Amino acid sequence: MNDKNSIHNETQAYTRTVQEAENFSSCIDIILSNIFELKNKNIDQILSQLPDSSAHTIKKILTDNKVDSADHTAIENVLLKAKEEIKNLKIAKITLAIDPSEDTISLISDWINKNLGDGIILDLSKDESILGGVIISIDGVYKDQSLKKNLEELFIKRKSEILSSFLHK
Amino acid sequence: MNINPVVFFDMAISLFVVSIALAAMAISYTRVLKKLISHQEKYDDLLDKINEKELDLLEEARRKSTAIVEEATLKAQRIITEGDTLNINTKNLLEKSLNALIREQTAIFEKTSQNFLESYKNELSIVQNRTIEIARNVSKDIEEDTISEVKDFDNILAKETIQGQKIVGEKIEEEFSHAKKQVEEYRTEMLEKVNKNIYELLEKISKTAIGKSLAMSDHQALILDALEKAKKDGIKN
Repeated sequence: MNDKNSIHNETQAYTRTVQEAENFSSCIDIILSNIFELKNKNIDQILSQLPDSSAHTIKKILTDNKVDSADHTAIENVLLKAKEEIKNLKIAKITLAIDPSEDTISLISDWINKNLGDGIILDLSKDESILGGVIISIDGVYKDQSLKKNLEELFIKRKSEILSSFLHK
Repeated sequence: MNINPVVFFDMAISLFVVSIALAAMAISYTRVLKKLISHQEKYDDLLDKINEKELDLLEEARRKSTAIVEEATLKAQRIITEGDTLNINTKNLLEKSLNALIREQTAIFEKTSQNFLESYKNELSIVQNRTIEIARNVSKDIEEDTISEVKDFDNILAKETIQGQKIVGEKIEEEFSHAKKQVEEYRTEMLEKVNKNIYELLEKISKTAIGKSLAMSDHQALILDALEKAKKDGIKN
């Protein structure tokens, strides 16, 4: 149970977005396709060919699960479980008005995990016309909380007030 | 080759019969030919006689016809001569009678014309007098009618003018009200259009201004705020 939690937690920590999940899954595939060719070689040789972040996460998962680097079968089992975890992740489609920075991605991912539960990754897209805020869609529920929509609602609600203040100036 | 005597005898008899028949036919032909020649001679004689008689008759006829023509010509000449004489006499007589008749008729015609002219003058004088009298009466009637019609026209004109002024006044009032209404409608429409355009412009400017003026920290704050609102709005089932 602890092993499973470790895999789950590490996978979650590394894969915040769909893109990251696909990259991580590709790295696991690379290891799985080369693992039985290792024989007397060390797994570190393969990990060294992968991006640092992915290699670090995979190494941490193997260490936490006390997997012997020479036990190729055990490595395979742990990595297959990690891949299964990725497959089971939910996707939250989020539209932003800007290109998200790493900070912004972390901010959104943390908020999602804290408020909507873990096991959710982000499918981010950009649409400048929404001006700000987000449009989010998860589990078939769609919410438009963009600045554009809020402004439009504001203008509709306070149309006469805005017009009169503008025209009397 | 031997011939049967019976056959020979028959053939001899047959030749004999045929010879007799031929001889009879020759005699008969000669006789007929003689008769024919005799008849031809008679026919020729007869034809000559006929020709002679015919010539005589023709000569006689020519002679008689010539005599008739000559006699007829003489008679015709005589008749023509007599006719010419008669024609000259008749013509003279006719001219005399005609001249006398012309003179007589001219005198009658002149007399009749004179009478007719006098009657015409009298009638013309009467008609002129009547016409002058009628013209005087007509002028008077026309004058009276004209004065009366002018008076009527004046009255009608006065009435129509007053009525027309009233109608024009009402029409002007109606048109003015209509124009005023149209102006008011147009004003309202234009104001609505202006309001809408200003509103849309204002909204667009606001969006542009807000969209461009936001810093990254503002965006992050807006994102978190939006996520909180989505959560409150029921994003989590």
